[in-house]
Amino acid sequence: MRVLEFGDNKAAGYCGRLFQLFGAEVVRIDLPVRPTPNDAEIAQDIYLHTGKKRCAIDYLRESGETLLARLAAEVDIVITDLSPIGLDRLGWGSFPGKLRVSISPFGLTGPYRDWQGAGPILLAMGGYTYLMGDPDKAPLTLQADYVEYQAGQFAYTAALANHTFGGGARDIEVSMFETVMSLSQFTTVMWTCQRLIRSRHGNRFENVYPVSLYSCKDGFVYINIVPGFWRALVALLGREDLLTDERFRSNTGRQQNQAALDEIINEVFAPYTMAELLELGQREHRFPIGSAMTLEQVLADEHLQSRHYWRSVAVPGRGTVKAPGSAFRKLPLRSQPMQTWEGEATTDG
Amino acid sequence: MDRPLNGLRILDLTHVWAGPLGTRILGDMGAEVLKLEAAHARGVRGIPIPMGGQYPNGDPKDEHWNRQGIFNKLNRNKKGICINLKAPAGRELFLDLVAESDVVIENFSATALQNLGLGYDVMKERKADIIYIAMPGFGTSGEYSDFVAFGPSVEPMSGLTATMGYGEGELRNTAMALPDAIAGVTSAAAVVTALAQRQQSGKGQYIDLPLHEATINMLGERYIETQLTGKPPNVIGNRNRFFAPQGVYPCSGDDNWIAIACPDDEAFAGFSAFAALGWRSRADFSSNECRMANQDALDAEIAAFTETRDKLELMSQLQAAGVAAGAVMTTPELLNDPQVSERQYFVELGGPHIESIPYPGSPVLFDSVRGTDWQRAPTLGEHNEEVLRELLGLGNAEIRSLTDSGIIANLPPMVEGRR
Repeated sequence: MRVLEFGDNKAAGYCGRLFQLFGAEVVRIDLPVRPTPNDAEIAQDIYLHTGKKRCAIDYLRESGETLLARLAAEVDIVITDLSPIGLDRLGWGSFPGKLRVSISPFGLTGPYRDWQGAGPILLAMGGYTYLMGDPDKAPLTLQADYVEYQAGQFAYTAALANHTFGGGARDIEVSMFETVMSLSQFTTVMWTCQRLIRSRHGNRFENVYPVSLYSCKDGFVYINIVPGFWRALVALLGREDLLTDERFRSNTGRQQNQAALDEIINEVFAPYTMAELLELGQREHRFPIGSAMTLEQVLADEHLQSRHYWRSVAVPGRGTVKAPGSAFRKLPLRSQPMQTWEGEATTDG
Repeated sequence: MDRPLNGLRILDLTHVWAGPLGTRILGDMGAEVLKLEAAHARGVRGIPIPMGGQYPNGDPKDEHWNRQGIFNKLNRNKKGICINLKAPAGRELFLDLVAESDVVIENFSATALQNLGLGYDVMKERKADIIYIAMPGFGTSGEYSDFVAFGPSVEPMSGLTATMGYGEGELRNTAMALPDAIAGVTSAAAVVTALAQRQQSGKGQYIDLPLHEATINMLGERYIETQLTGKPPNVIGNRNRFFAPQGVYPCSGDDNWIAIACPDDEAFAGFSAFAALGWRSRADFSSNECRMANQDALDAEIAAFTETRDKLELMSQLQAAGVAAGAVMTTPELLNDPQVSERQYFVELGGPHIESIPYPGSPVLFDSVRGTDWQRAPTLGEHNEEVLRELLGLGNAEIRSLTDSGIIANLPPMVEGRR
């Protein structure tokens, strides 16, 4: 299977990454003249494009556009996240390709078709941002390419399904705005069922308590105490009296007395490390608790090492880095073969 | 138009959010999804927490398990079958269904199906090329594989929490179980991948898809950057690390906000021209470097400009000026949004037991068609007879016997006992 990928966003890159992991020959087309990348951009390039064939074509010019079209005619799937205006310039409606996949901020139709839509904009419009952060502060966005990567996953799934099982479509269109809306948790249902607007509550979950982030000796832990785990938390706290304390006997009571409960939890958690609380909570008392691991801690984590999760990538002049491998893998797990990042192409390949 | 997964059958044992989201995506793309549940209805059907906004008009009536809004949102285009897998006859029925299916998917704990004697090896004996997707929180092996894992407690262990907040020491969790949404979409990708591989090799496989690793995948470049630079990215609230301005700014009214980003001089020039406050000509905002160095002052100027303006009007005005801007929207605003309306994104579904209400549609269009023949989510055990009769060839007497012995059901046990 041959896949051609080009554009100016990260969604097509993630979609192409999934095709590359699947085993397809993926050709990534970049524009030839680009500023010198910083480390963040190099990191993203390593993550998204290692293992792809790279080619630089100035498809903004007519000769480059012709070359891109010739390549598109030779592959099974063409993926792009070029803006709809860019697609118009290419003549997307009659562009070659057995299966053409476009990922765009708002889709290829509608009044927002040509609007600017980076991740933080789409998270805001799609209903996510309103829910994140503290009630008395500005809502928070995600510092991750969540929208782009999730849209890339949708595009990959639809394109591979259509290619393999013959749905008969020639064009697949994925809207990143609609991707965010399709991944709402309770938000849409709360309104459509009962005209309730879900609001934000910092680290707390709206309807259950205690579900929040607590500080400890060397960082933070998150506990998720739905009613069935209340007894287990009480056992860890060593406060059996809380089971009969009117303030905390029910979930409603615990929600109404959050400050008093937090004081108790904070006092008990303070002398423990994250690792100790994880051990106590998960192993001894069996409730959902997770430590707020730094990226360095995740990179060094033995659980992930034992599962061969990371893939080694050789980066010329920079040594070897660990990159996330596939998010889903065949069992039994095996180490993932080392790859070499060759960087962007700077001339026509 | 045929949807691409027409003719493929998914035996879906998933519950709560991640798994049902994944199989919803597959159902949207045409797969026949058999949603297999227990009568005691684990997951959102039987949610024991009194949460507002879960039932149409706030009324569970006398069948809360069928009227739960989140369940109905996540389980459209599926057939509902209810089988007691703890009974030997139920397990046998399950294996008969495995023999007729292409994929089995579940998001129980790492050993749950194995403990019921229904592990991959057993399934494979019934269907040599079966594809089995397991979605435990931390995977089927490794130090954390037996951890009690919910999306919100998996999230901090992915590193996501360490990247998010108002600043160092003010970390924030998304408080919306993001790993579920991530693993859900990833699971649809995993199923189609395995099906395509089976098309090539003729072989099924057992796939491990932990919520934990799926979430780390959303931060892949951050992990690589941390190694290249020797330090993780700082926690910077709503700002961008490489350009300014980017932020979430107040608008008129209560708790109204707008997200604005100007990734280059051209966008900032457009914003500056629209605001007409002379920003572009100020030395402290004259280049991206200057704006990065003076972000506090710039953000304060922008907030003063936005706070008297309506967020929806300002969004349209800024977009017309070539500036990336998006109102921080709530659900009623989304339902009234012109883009959403024109593209008919929300889909109305309902039935005899539940009022017709709009649910989020699919973000994928095949040849400009989103899908029009979607079916509402099934009631508990709604398709027991249809599936057992048509798929397994069972007759009236066998179905009656299975019903009488409680192997199949269409009511939760406590209700069955009352009626």
